[in-house]
Amino acid sequence: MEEIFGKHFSITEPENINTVIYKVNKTEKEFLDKSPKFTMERLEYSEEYVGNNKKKTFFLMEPAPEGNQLLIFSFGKDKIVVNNGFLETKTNLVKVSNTPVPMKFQTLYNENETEYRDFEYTPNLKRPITIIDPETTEEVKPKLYFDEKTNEVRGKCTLQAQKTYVMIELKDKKSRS
Amino acid sequence: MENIKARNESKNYCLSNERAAELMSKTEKCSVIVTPQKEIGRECKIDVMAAKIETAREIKDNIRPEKQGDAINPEYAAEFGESVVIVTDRSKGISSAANERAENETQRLSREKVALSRRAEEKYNSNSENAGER
Repeated sequence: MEEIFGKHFSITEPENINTVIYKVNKTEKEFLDKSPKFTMERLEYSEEYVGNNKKKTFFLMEPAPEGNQLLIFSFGKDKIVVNNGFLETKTNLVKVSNTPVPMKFQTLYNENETEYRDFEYTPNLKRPITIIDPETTEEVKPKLYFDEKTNEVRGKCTLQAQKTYVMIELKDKKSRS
Repeated sequence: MENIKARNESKNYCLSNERAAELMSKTEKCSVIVTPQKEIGRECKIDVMAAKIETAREIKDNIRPEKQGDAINPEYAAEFGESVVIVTDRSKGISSAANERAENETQRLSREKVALSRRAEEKYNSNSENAGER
């Protein structure tokens, strides 16, 4: 039988709200020369309807013994609420902050047809940036390809012009940039 | 409009009912509580930005070639450091940090339940140690 070590927890979403949760992973010291100190990993989830609300259950696999920081993004009609949480592995407790931060976008939804453009985006492995489409809540991940002219691996992703995307970067607390 | 999903890498994070049921039976259930920010540990800073793609301008005289092309222009930024700092582009609007709200009845009961459970566990451990010493 497949052995799994993980946790699950549930939240209830109001109508027209879509919540996405990431766990923060801390890179082990022996890999720090090639990887960033922190990375974020999106949690898989299941959903079921309870009346007009949606119950979402998130699954966090292989939690760190000391626990994992959580990033919670709730996408609404014209704003995104960003919140901070922590999963305590030993006590099976998920703590969510009572001070979320709302972010409003004036150009979040555009009813006019605008073109999609290919955008050169070669990800920096030492400085990963997560891009989220606020309409679909899907991550925009670049497709990597080998450029024969420059003899290097480059990236390309397709984004809509004049549309607002959410970009997230994790940094060391000591970082001044 | 062409299907952009075919052009970007994508993954579906929503599990089927069968897979979710299987994972639920194999993983431990966690309770969720709302607490003041100071009770939540934070190991890293989080920069959140809203960015918009600006399409390339037309090629005009006296514009250097490297200035052409698409660019991502940050509009807003929220930084979770020791406190929340919001940086905004005032021409687009203002975001602001939410004020700390008084907890409601459900949050209070949830917090007290967790505290009671911890006190009971500490008491049990303390009694066990005393019993072992006798």
